[in-house]
Amino acid sequence: MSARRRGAQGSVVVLIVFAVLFAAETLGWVAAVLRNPFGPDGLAAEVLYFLGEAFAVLAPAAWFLATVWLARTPQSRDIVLIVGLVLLVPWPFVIGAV
Amino acid sequence: MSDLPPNMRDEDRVTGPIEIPPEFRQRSSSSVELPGAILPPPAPTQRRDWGSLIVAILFGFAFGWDLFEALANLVGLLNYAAAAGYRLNSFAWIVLGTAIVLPPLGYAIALGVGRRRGPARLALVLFAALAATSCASLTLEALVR
Repeated sequence: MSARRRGAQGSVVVLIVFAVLFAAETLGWVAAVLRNPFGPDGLAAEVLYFLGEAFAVLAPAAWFLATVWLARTPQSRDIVLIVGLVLLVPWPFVIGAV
Repeated sequence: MSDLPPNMRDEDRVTGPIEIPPEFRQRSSSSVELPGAILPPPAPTQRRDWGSLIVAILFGFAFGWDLFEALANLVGLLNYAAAAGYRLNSFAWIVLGTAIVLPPLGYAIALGVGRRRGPARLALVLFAALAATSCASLTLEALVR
């Protein structure tokens, strides 16, 4: 097996690990949104608030896809993915769970 | 011919294709340099990317709404605090201030990353930033509550 082939496989493994972590954050946001009792008054405000919650659930997937699609090198891709993992921690869920 | 010194003999003249040293090669295959006498140089300005502009404006409304909401939260809490006769503490100021700073910051970073990459990529980057902003504002809201 050549070095390049090994590198490509390692990259795929790294990518799968990141995908699993981002999926876990998605589940955390789903739980946080389901547990969130807060909602503004009024239909329009409620719809927009729900939209924000839906965006929060979609955020890890969006970050993952955007990074994989736009990154120019594997190094920059991994760095941006790590930044996303840190930024998108579902804190409402984490705080609520403690 | 044979009485010439070795370094002046013509034996090692190039017969195959000439190997161009790397420093003289074209940097990219897309930009072929032609002598100016044959063709005028290409226009320095490229066509405006209308798709990206529309995407940026549409997402600008979404980010603008987030900013408006954050400002409304601050004003509402200030009024509430004034009516109750006390002042907002520093923690509330930090949380509400962060909520105001985040939407423009996310929009600017996403535009910086996604601009010049075409409308589809710009849209995905802007959506990722918008979604991350939603996550942040839900987190800040959970902190204040």
